[in-house]
Amino acid sequence: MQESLNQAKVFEMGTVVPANNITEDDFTVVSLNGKENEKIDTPKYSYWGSVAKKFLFSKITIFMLILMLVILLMSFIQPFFSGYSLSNVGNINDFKARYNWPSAKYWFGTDANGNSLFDAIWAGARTSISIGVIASLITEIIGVIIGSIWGVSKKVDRIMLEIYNVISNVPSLLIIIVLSYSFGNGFWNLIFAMTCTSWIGTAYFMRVQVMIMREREYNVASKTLGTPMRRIIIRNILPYLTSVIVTDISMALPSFISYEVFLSFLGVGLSQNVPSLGRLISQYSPYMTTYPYLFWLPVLVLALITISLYIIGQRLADASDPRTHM
Amino acid sequence: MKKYLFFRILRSLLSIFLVTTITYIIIYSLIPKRDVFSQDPLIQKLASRPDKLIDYKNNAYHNMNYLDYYDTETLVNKVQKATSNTDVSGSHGKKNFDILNKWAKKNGFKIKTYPSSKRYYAIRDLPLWERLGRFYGNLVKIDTPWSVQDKNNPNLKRYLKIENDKWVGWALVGSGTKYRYQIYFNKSFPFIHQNIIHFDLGTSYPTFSGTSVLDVIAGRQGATVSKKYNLGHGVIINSADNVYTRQYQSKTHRNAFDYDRYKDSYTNLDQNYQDPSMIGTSFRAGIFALIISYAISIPMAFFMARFKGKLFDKVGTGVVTLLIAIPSLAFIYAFRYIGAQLFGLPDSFPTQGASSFASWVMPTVILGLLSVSGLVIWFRRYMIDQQQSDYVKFARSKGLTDNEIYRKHIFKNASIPIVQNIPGMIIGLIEGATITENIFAMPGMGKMLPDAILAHNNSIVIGLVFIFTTIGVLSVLLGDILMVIVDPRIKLSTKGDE
Repeated sequence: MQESLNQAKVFEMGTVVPANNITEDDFTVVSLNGKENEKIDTPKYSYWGSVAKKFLFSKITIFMLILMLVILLMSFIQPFFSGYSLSNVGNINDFKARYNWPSAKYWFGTDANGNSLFDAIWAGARTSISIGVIASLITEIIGVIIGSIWGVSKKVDRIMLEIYNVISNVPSLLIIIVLSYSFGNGFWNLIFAMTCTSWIGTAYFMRVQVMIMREREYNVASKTLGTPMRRIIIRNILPYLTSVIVTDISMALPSFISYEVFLSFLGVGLSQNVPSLGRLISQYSPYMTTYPYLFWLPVLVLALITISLYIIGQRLADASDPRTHM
Repeated sequence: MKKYLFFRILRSLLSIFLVTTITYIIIYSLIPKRDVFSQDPLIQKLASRPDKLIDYKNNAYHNMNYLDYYDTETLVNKVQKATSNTDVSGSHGKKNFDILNKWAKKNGFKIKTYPSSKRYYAIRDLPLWERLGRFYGNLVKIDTPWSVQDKNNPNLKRYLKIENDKWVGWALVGSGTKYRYQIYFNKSFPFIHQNIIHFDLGTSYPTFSGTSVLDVIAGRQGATVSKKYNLGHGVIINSADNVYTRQYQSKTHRNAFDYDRYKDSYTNLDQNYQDPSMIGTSFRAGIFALIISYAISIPMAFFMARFKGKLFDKVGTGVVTLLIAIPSLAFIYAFRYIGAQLFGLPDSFPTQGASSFASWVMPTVILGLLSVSGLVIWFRRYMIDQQQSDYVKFARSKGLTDNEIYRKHIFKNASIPIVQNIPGMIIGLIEGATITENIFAMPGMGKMLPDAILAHNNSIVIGLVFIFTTIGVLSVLLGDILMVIVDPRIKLSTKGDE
């Protein structure tokens, strides 16, 4: 094969080859290979593979990913070993155990009840992260589904716009507090109260995005060819909007966590026995000058959680944008 | 355009109405009635006196518009008037009960007895629609010379006159009206004031008990201050009275001293207070925060877009990312700490009060900084989008310098959506001040909202939502109009369906 190729090249290049030098033996008979003919020889392309390659390219991303994994593992595994509970006041009479500054024994020091702040922070982080993740998932799923229907149907648009005008004007704080009054405080009640109106913001955002994509040439062509609208949304529009949706999630996550902190600061939302970072921060804000570690360590952990989640989300959004895969 | 504006305003009014109604329904149907007393210390004190307890509870419900309540005395009076039967009384007995019950059935009331004295009282649960009807029915009050109907004062003159009053100067003065001064002028913003149209959003309860909601939200706060009134002929009176608010007061209620001073029946007046109202506090902080946040973010976004991909852009993006990702509570605490330690600013608003400039600095600056990140992200994006457009390429090929292109062309075009956003930002900053106002204990609307919800002060909550929605809806409208003024190419009214 190699040899004949060389000869062909030589021939091509225009070198004069005497005709009597080529004999029958120089040729081999090749049968026609149907499969080989059909094969288009381009490098294999996988969308998610390319996303992963792009995503893992940056060192900052990998650093943030490791940081996030450490935080996640700590907050979901550490509480099982520490057995931290807000109602545990075993050390409350032990004056030596109270307000210990961070040391080798108590890494993050101890609080007014003589409990280790290290345990409290991770137990609190677990609640805060869970609230952020669950609430943003619910918001995004409902928002994306309703938003894509909203964006393509003019009938739905007319009704939904009025609903949006009304709901977006009712202060969400009011809804959350009123719902927590009528259903009581608690983890799932809080998530319900947070998500029962927040989805409309996402839906409105998706509506605008879908409306922009709806009139693009490739969708008009697809529509002309008779593709049903549902298929156009699922196959044509939504894949194009992946990066937009991921960006939205990465902004929703820190904002939900931050909102939980604010609600705990007001004393609304979670029931008394559930630890959360918001509760720690609001509880220890008076100690900012006397025992600063009690206040700043939860704030630091909270900031690390939201920053790592946000940056990873942003990088993932950048990587999932097909236009950058050149 | 005019037609569009007309329908747009109509739709805005409808939105305000719907939001207020929904809030009303949410509050009155979802929160259990008995929660009102969950933090009331009086309930424990009254536990040993069941009659008093029932009276107290029903009065509270009555004040909060849950039900109509007549105690024994009022009930008997009502029945005597309605049936012209004078020998009915409130004490326990079959005859009394029959007469009272007959009246009650006719008017939809229920007759009940106090547990210890066994005397009768009447209550009627108000259906939601009736409460709503009362709320909207009383919402707007217009003052006319026939507003005051006082049997004890049949000779009250009824007129509206423009005259030079010795207390307030030139004004439209009324008699027979509820307010003495219908239109008047003074030095405070907006210089021309009126007392003809008043909004009545109900009465506040249980916090600020008995004060009208609008007075709580829009009335000035703090300690009273006295002012000098020069009445001519060398008479100078030093008084804390706010003479602009003179209202009619019947003979039985007024005191001789005030009557002697004002020489007419308009002796019911408010005092002058030194601190701005809740709306005023939020508004001041909001406007200055807006200026601060634009002053920081517009130049920052401009230079980030101008030197895209360079060091300044990278550092700026990092700062913005941090601002977005850090929870606002942590951010506020951190800045408060820095401000208090390094600059010696008060870390709580009431320490030095509203009259001191220093107490305004930190809440306002922090409020402004909180919205910088969003503005920078969007303005940078708009500017970068403009960089690719044809007119920029054309300008460049004509030989304009980069500086000129950025300053004269890109900046102007990119600021159109920003201009549209300004009124929205104002309302955002006023509402978003909930966190800063709470942390700095600043007496504004943002602090009032959670306080009122937690205290079950239903009328204040509804009043606040009404005000927020009105400002919010109107600011969106104003933003659209502003955008049309800045960029005449934009048309709000579209023909047909796009």
